[in-house]
This record gives sequence, structure tokens and C-alpha cells, in this order.
Amino acid sequence: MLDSKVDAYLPWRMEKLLYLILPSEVRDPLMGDLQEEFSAQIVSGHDLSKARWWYRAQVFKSIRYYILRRRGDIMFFLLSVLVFVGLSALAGLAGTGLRMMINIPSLIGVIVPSFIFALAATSIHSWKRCLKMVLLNIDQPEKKEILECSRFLKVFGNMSVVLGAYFSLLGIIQFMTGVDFSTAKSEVIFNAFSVALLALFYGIALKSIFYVADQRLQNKYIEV
Amino acid sequence: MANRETYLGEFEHIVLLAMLHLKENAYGMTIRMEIEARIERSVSIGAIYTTLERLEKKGFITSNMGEATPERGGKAKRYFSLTSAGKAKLKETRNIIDTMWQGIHPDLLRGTYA
Repeated sequence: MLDSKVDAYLPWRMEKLLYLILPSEVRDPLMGDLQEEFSAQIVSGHDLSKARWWYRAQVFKSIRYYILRRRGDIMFFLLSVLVFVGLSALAGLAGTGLRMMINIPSLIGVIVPSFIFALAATSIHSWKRCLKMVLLNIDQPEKKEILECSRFLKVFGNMSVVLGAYFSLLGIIQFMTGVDFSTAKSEVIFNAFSVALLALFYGIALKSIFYVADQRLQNKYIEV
Repeated sequence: MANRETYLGEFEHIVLLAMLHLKENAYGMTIRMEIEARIERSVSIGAIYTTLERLEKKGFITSNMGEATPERGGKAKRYFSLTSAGKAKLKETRNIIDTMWQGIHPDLLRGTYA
């Protein structure tokens, strides 16, 4: 009776966080130890909110050791993405400025349909699991899950390039058919071309990131 | 001269001593509580486990899975015990510390030594 009550009092978000971050070999013993001490505090009449704060503090103090241990694992992936984005931004700054590299409608036009296509090719729940598999460590995922995640990343990446090219072509066609070349300034024409090409640029950038994520997934979970 | 690879750190030393005090009942929670009760040092369970894993890798302790009780939410305990190499290392560390303490004048610690 009391045990089920204690279960209900445990801060479940903290439990979930621990579950995600801890490696499988220490997950049960460590989480069990925390729960046992939490139960002991409740049984001995400690204030419930204090016990819950103690539990939260233990979780936050504990996970940093495991996050630090995984730093090398995840940091290289994040660093590669950061360097890629940073260099692209630098290229923009060296040219006409960063503002010319940002076009929200093009970005949405590439990301949103690509994401929907990737979901359609896999399953609606696969992307969350896939995100965890790439960024965190999932214990012994099933082969079907790995392949589904790999397919999700491939479809997302490939569709980003295809849609990027599609929207760029669409933009160029729209512009070519709508502009009066006899009166339009060359500056306006080239600016319009640049904006149209941004969709393709975003598509290629996303493809690069998803390609690395897919390779990382296969390296982590598929034994050669 | 002690091998740098297998040298005992301060916290590793404390954890091993706590395990000796606990005898057969040394697992994460009891080790944490033992340290807190004896030296009033608040430590996280994560710090205990990362240290225990390191000590196990060095061959100073071994572990075996224990029972899963309801107050643990059905999660199994992991009991730890010292290996003969761990006991030998503790003795060696104590000898090193004792040797270093020999000949230290108490005034040095009082701050009156010129």
C-alpha cells in the first residue's frame, strides 16, 4: 500500500530524465537506491515536498557525471553541425551580409514538407525515438527501429534537397515570367535569383546534417 | 613508487573505507549514507556510482546483483565488495599517508612554525 503511494509521490519527470541519461548497467541499481532512500524519508515522516526536492537535487547532481562522460560522444556531432552552420554564416557575412542568407518562407517550405514526407515514409512516432537514438544512447534497440530511424533521416535529407531544388526552380520560373527585363535593374534581378536559390541552399545544408546523423546512427547501433 | 594508473584518489579512498565499514551491506545508497553520516559530506548517488565503476575497472572491487524489493520499485540492488587487490591498495595508501605524516611537527599545522 505504502509502496504504491511512494511510487505516486516520486517526481516522475526526474525519473524519466534519469532513465534517459543513465547507461543501462547502472540504471536499475542507481534508480532503485534513490527510490529506496526517498521511500525511507517518507516512512520516517519527512516532509513530502522536502523529500521531493532532495530527489530532484540528487538527480541533477548525478546526471552531470553521466552527461560529462557522454560529452565526447555527442559533442562531436553537435560540433560538426555548429561548425557547418558557423561557416555558412561566415560565408554570408563575407558576402552581402547575414540577412541575405535568411529567408523564413524558404526554410519552412523545405523543412515542413520534408518532415511530413519522412513521417509518411516511416511512422508518426518514429521521429521522437529516432531523435533519442541519434542524440542519446538507447539500449539495444531493435533492428526494425534502427532501420526505421535510418529511413526517416534519409527521407528527410533527400526530400530537403528535392524540395529545395523544386522551390528554387519555382521561384526562378515565377520571377522569369513576371519580371519586365527592359525596365528591371540588374541588382533586383540578381537579388531575386539569390532568394530563389536559398531554398536549394537550405535543402543541401539539411541533407548534409541528416547524412551525418544517419552515419552516426549506423556507427552506434549496427555492428559491422 | 605507486603506479599512477592505480593510485587511489581521495574520494575513492573514502568510498573503499565506507565499504569496509558496511561489510556485506555495501551498495550505492548505504555507501552514500555511510559517508554522509561519518564525515558529514553530502555526496550525490551519481558521484558514488561513477567512483564505484572506476574502482571496479581498476580491479579493486567487484559487484553482484542482489534482490529487488518493493520499496525500490522492483529495481535490483548492486552489492559491492573489496577484492584482495583493493584491500592491498588501501593498506598501501595508508602506509604512504602514515609515512608522509611522520616527522611533521604539530606547530606546522598551528601556523606557528617559522
